Formats: sequence, structure tokens, C-alpha cells
Amino acid sequence: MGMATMASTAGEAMNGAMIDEVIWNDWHPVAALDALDAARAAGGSNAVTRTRLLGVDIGMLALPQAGARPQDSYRVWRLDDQTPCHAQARYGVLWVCAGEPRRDILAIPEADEPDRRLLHAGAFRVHVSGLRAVENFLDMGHFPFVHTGYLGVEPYTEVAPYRIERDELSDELYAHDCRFYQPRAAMTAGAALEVRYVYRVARPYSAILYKTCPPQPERFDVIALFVQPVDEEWCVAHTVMSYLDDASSDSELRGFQQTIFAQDIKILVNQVPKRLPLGTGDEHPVRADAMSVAYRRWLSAQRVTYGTTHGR
Amino acid sequence: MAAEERIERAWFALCDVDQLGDRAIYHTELLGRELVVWRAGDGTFNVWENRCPHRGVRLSLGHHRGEALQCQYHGWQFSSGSGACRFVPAHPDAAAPAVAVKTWPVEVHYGFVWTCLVAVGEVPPFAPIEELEDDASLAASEDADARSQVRSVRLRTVAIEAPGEAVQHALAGYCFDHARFDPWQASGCVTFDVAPHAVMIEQLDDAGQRVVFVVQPARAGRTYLHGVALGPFAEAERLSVQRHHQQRLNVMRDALEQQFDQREALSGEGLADQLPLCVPQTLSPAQPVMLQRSVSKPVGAPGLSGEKRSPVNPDMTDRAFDLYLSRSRRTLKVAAGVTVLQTLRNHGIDVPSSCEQGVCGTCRTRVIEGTPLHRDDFLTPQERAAGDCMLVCVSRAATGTLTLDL
Repeated sequence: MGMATMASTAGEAMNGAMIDEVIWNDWHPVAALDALDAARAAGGSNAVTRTRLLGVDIGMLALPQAGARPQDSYRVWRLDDQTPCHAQARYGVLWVCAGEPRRDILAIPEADEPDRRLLHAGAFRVHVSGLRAVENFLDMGHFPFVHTGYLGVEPYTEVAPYRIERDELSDELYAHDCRFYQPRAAMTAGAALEVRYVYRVARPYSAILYKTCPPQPERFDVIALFVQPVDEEWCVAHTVMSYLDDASSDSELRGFQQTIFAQDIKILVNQVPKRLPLGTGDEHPVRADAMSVAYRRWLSAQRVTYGTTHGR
Repeated sequence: MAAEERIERAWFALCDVDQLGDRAIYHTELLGRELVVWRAGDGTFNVWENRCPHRGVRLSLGHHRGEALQCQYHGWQFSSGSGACRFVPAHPDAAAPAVAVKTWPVEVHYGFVWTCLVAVGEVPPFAPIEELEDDASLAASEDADARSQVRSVRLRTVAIEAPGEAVQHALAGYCFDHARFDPWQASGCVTFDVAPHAVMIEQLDDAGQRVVFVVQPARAGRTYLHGVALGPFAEAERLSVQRHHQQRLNVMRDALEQQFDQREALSGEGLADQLPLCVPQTLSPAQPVMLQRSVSKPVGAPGLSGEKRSPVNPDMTDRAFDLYLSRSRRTLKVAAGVTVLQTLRNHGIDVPSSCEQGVCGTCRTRVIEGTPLHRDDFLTPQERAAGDCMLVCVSRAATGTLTLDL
């Protein structure tokens, strides 16, 4: 008795309420481009991949158009009534808008730099609201306890003060001057480092982190978390990396990122409730959570309720 | 509903005390609430909500630190007894925030930990189960002979995917006979209710063996069943008694579960399987839209950006100022180095607070006159500029006097 009724074209959430406009009309990741291309290579021009976005089942197809721009090569449609959906390929991921897009997909200029590698580290289906997955991505306090030996270790648990910034023009959030002592921060880190981070929340379900790159300390590696809200309590987390590292192989980098994310999944599926409690007073932050508090206030300001407890 | 209230206000058994040795954190459920049961190093038993008040992670994943439980997510520690937070690793030198895990009342009887899901002050007295009381008093007896006999054997808890009422009803037909070592043959048995959620089953033959079952309704459709077989038994019989009942209970469980079989569809699948997966006839892209290009602020290399903090005027930092409270018409002096929140408390004015680090917003107070000096990480730049509220746990005054709506 999981999904009750099909969502209407206007976008109904599981309980029949309308889905927030800002969410319904936003671009959301639905598949890794590699996976769609592989499906076409294996199954031919009729190999349809399916998934679910905001409670709506959709079908996706990679078209065999050699030489065409990537954004022309994919088709997406609703499985219930065959209506097409807007689709664009970017950053290794297929983005879909179920409604009418008001603005373009978020911008990551660094990803276009010629000496970087773009890598999709895998899509993980998690039984929790995508908003919880984003909030976990923005948090450093858990490094010594959840990613022991990789991103943090006891007794180096202190979270130094950092600075929150709101970009009014693009309505995005940043956390600057973040730093944390890490025993093994990345594939290229030979020894322990104090790693410097900048966190950015670009959309309710998309966050990016900019991290010290040991071989080139004046630039940074970019790790993006693009979350696909399957419904209010399920999500698929797409991790995309734009790396400067040319020493490690794709599979080594993917493996490292997957190890980290598997550790996060164990926590995410054990959060109660599954939806993010906005404005209920049941969860208590400390100063290390300044970015998470800013994220929740930012969601409230945009009137996001999808994936939250709706005030209850 | 009156009947439901009666159930809610009763004491329920949760687990055998033997489950709580060796730094165990026992995870269970009662009436739809997830709980953890644990015993501290000093012997105190704790029944807590299975949820860390920081970010909602189950405490059952965490670690038993002797006199505290530690949450697995950020390592927060909560003290035995009160459930109060005593340590936050992210701020090791700061005082712990005034946050606590939700705790429930605890009693220990007949080798089980019991709880009652009502608020402090409304807790009903524990209603003893006579048939188990006799056994308990013998165990505490002065007479060494009486003590040395094994008078009762606690059975292993059984989980049954069926509602509590159905389990209790099925127990009316439960039969056993461990004296005869034949698990499948039994003389007649009769069942008595000995408490709202406990039954006793007695053999009708000369041996008159008895077993008491205590029902724990975990959630809709799931029940845990605890049992005590009443002897006397020889020490060597303990295991065979447990095994005998285990076999009988498994049969009862299987019959009940077949009756109440429920399957839940996994979200994200199921419905999609029924939809046609063929490519639509007209495989057109959606109508093209003109989109405004997204722009992102350049993220400067770490260490180079963000050195733009305005230099703090040392005169402004911690100097004393006057605080006027408009509703109570009092003037207080906020001393240098003492927070507004602390000053208010010293004068008996209680403002709600939580983190006391300027990040949660709980202590936000309206400012009527004067200019606050914001030191928090919560208000937006617009809210700060408006100057009509402040977080009293960390912020101060830029002017000589500040008027608050208190």
C-alpha cells in the first residue's frame, strides 16, 4: 500500500497536498548519464530506464545521435500519461523538470576548467527525506564518529567557528572558513591535514563542497551532492566529483567516495522522523550546526515543505 | 477512549535484566514508541526514547559509556538518570547545552525492566502480579534452602507479528507439559488472567506446573511476549524448560503470523511495474523554454576569501550597558563579560534558551529601543539590520542603553 494515487499533472505529494511550486518547477537529477548510455549500448534504441521523481514515475531514453549536443540526446516522459518532461544533461547527470522551469540548472563554473575530471561516484537510494541527506552533507561534526580514520578522528573533534554568507542575488547559501583536522582527507592526501572547506547550498536538494586539494593548495576539489527526491521519504543521492587529481584512477576515487557515503547511509536511515522537522522544536543545534540552522531557515523562507514534517 | 487510556497508563515489561549486562543497549518498542533500555555502571536502569535530541538519530546505534550513552552521529553524551546532555565533542570546552533525551519511569520486578508511558507526576503505582510475587519473595528469603531451589525460569522473549490482543487471546489455548519431556503431548491446561496484560497457564494434572506470560504490545501488528515458568525445578532442568516453551511458543507464533500476514510495498517500486514501459509513439522533447542562465558566486581559494571580517572595535566588545525592560519597567545593569541572558536570570527573569551559543534562535527577544550588537550565527543580514530583535545569549548593545520587550 505504498504509493496511493498517481500524482496529478499539477504535482501532488503523497498526502494529496500540492507540491511546493519551488520544488515542482525546479530541475532535479534522475540518472547518471553513464548509466543511461550503458543501457542504450546494452539494450538498443528502445532500452527505457525508469525512475520516480516527486512521486511521479518517469521513463528515460538515450537517443543514438552521434555528434549532437548532450542535451539533445535524452528523452524523458511521464509513464502515466506519456507527456514529455523537460530534460537536460549536465555535470554527468540527467536533470528533469516535472513542471515548468523558472531558471536554469545551478552553475558550477569550476567544472568547466579543462584540467579537471568529472566523475559520477554512484547513485545511492536511501530511505530518508532528501533534505536530511543534504543537511548531512553540510555537517562536519560527524566526521570523527561516522568517517573515523578518513575525514576525522578522535580526539580532534572540535568544530572551529565558520562564517555563513547569503548570496542575495542567486539566493544561495555559503559557509566559508570551514576547517577540520583529517587523517586521510582524499586519495591524494598522504598524511593528516587540516583541510579547508567551503560549503554551498544552491537548491533545496543540491549542495556542493569545495575542498583543499593537496597537490594544488591554491585550488580545490569540488564534490557535489545532487539529490533526487523520489518522494517525501525516499531519495537517490547522486555524488559528482570534479577533481584536479591525476594520480588516482576513476575507480579509486569512486571507491573512496562510496566508502564515505555508505557510512553516511547507516546514519541517514536511522534518523527519526524520516522527514526534516522544520519548526517543531524537537531537534536542538549547537554552534557547529550554524550551516544546518541557516539551511533550515533558508528552506522555510522559500516555503519548502516537501520532504519536511509539514510543521507537525 | 477510556479503554485506550487504561492501557496507556499501565506498566509494561520491556526486557529481561539479563539482556543488559556487558554495556548492552537494548532496543525495543512499546505502543508505537521506540525505546532503549540500558543499565549504568552504578546499577541504575534507564528507559529512554530511542532518539537523540540533536538530529534524531537512534541511540540504539550508539555506545554505552558506563554512566552515559553516546550518540553515534556526533558523539553527544547523555547522563544516566536524567538523560541530560553532558558533553558535545564539537565544542569540548563549552558547557553542554540544556538538552536532554526523553526519559520514562523505570521499575524492576521479577527479573524484568518495566516502564509506563505517562508524564512524571501522573505515574500510577506498579500493580504486582501475585503469582510472581511469591516467587520473588522466596528468592529474597532468609532460608538458604528456600533460596537454593530454582523456583522460576525466565523464558526467552518471543517476537510475534500480530496485535497484542490477538496474542493474549491465543494464549487461552496454550498448552505445555515439560515434566514429561514430550513436547507434543500435553495434559489439559487452563488459562487465567492475572493482570490486564498478563496471563497464567496452569496444568490440570497432579504436577500443577504453571507459567506466567506478560504481553508487551510493541506497535500495531507486533507484540513481544515475556514468560516465567514457575517451578520448583532442578538447576539441570532450566534449559529443557526454556526449550520446551520455546517450541510451543514458536507454533503459536507461526499460527498467529499466518493469520495477520501483512505485506507492505516498497516505496519507489511496485506501482511503476504496472505501467507500460514502451517508448511513446511521439517521442518529442518537451516545449523548449528560454531559461535565465544560473550564475554562481566565484568560490575563492580557501584561505584567500573571507578575510573581510570588519575589525572589532575593542571599545564595543564587552563593555557594560544598561538594560531597560519595558513591560516590567525595570532597569538592569549588564556587566562587562556577563551575557544579557545571564543578567536576566540573575534577576529572576526566565527567557527560554537551548544552545546558549547564538545558533538555535530560542532566546530571540524583541528590541524596542537602542541598537543591538549582534554576535550570533542565526539572524539573517536583513534581520540584523532591522535591529528589532536579538539573541540574548551572545549579543550585546552598541548603544549605552537597550530596551527589551520583557
